[in-house]
Amino acid sequence: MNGFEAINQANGWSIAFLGAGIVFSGLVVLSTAISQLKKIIAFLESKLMNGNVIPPSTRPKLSKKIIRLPAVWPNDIREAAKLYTPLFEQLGSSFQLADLYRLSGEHNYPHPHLTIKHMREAEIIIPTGDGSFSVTQ
Amino acid sequence: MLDLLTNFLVNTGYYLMTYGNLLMIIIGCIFLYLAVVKEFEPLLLVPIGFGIVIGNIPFFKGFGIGIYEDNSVFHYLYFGVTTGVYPSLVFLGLGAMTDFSSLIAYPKLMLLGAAAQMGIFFTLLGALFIGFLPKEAASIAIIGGADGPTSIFLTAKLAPHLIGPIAIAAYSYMALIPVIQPPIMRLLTTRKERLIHMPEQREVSRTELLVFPVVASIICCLLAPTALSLLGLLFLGNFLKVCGVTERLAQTARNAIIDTATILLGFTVGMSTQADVFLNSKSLGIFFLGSVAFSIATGSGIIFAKILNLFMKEKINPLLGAAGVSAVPGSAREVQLMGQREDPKNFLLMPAMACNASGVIGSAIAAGVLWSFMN
Repeated sequence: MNGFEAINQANGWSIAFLGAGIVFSGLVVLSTAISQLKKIIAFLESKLMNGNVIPPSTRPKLSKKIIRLPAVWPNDIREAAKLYTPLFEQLGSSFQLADLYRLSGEHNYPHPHLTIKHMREAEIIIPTGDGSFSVTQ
Repeated sequence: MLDLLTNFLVNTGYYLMTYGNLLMIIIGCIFLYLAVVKEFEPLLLVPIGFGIVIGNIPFFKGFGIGIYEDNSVFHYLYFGVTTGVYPSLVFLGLGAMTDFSSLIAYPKLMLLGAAAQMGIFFTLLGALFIGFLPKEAASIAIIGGADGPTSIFLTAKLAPHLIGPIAIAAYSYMALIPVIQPPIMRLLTTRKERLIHMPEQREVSRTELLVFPVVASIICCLLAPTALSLLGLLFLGNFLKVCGVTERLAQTARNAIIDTATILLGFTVGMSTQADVFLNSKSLGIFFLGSVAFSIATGSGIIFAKILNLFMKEKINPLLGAAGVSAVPGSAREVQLMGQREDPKNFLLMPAMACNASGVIGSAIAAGVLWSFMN
């Protein structure tokens, strides 16, 4: 048997629509659960740490200097390095690359890993010999 | 003495060789060529290609030599395929290798992994339409998930006589991702869409990484308990990796176990393609439907991303939809390459890996659902 008759006989339409629906809803549930994971963990951690939950509105806000970045990221790595100046100032004369990467992420610098790599290749950031780095410009 | 010599000669492979065996040996050699020279999925195609060559050396039936003969060495090795042991071990290793941080950082991209599974269900209808039996149709349809181990697992449960062609079709299309996917991606997207940048991946905490496999295994396995041996081992492998206290076990899972399972799985699946079993019209139908399934899966992921963009403020690059199939990391790599071809500063690899990872989970759930429906 073949054709639409075979599909009807095997209950194909129901299996296809129901199957697709189940797979889709399963992943939607998982996706929703994952998207809430961060909030739930933060909630539980704050409860564990303090014994009681601090409402988000009353949590002390960390003062963070706002760095304005251009809409179009410069192609020239030396120009891009200039935009990193506030971060270098914040880190001091000698710093760890991990700290620079973390700070770039906090200030929403685009593709920090790649930019830091290029700055190293261009010797804008050089190793100081003790595992730390410093800026040459 | 002459009789002895004649008897020996008529029992040699040279005498017993058929055109079918010869054709399959040539196909096996093409697989080896693609793997070694073109470097198309060599870890899979080398064991499969060599298996095809060895499996098609003709022999005198009844000596307990072939893979389909009781008590032969190959029959015992094939046991891991027919019972679903090897695919499950591959999933354990896969879990220990996979970094789910991109999936946790971009949870909404999981929907693209779900959309790409539509190829499976379209193909189910197509296979029934052509005249395959329901269990055979379900086994063929899972090729659309682009997941070799899952295809073998489901086929072993529903239509064990089709393991050879289905496994070969699934792995061939996985190896041919660089050929199949880019034209579909180009056809279904505009340049403007391909230029869409995705936001930088947020930092994912260790606790999130730790909780994810537990939560995901509970949610997914409760929904499709029939996929327990795939999803359970996938998330166990991942938990071994992220928990930080079982590094030795994670190392074994991601190296020794997955390598052993891949060699035995690939080789025995290759061996199961004996010409007299493999060369028939059904295999041709399976190859045709497999390509349809894979193409529809790629297309449905892309189209779903475009539909999502109609409602979302922050647009998704629709190329990511193509990574919703579970061919890890081949399809994610293709998305990255195409994105960078349009704009060298467009980095799509991490979000594409999120879609890929959800594709793995999605196709395993789909396999579980199909198995439940067919029993």
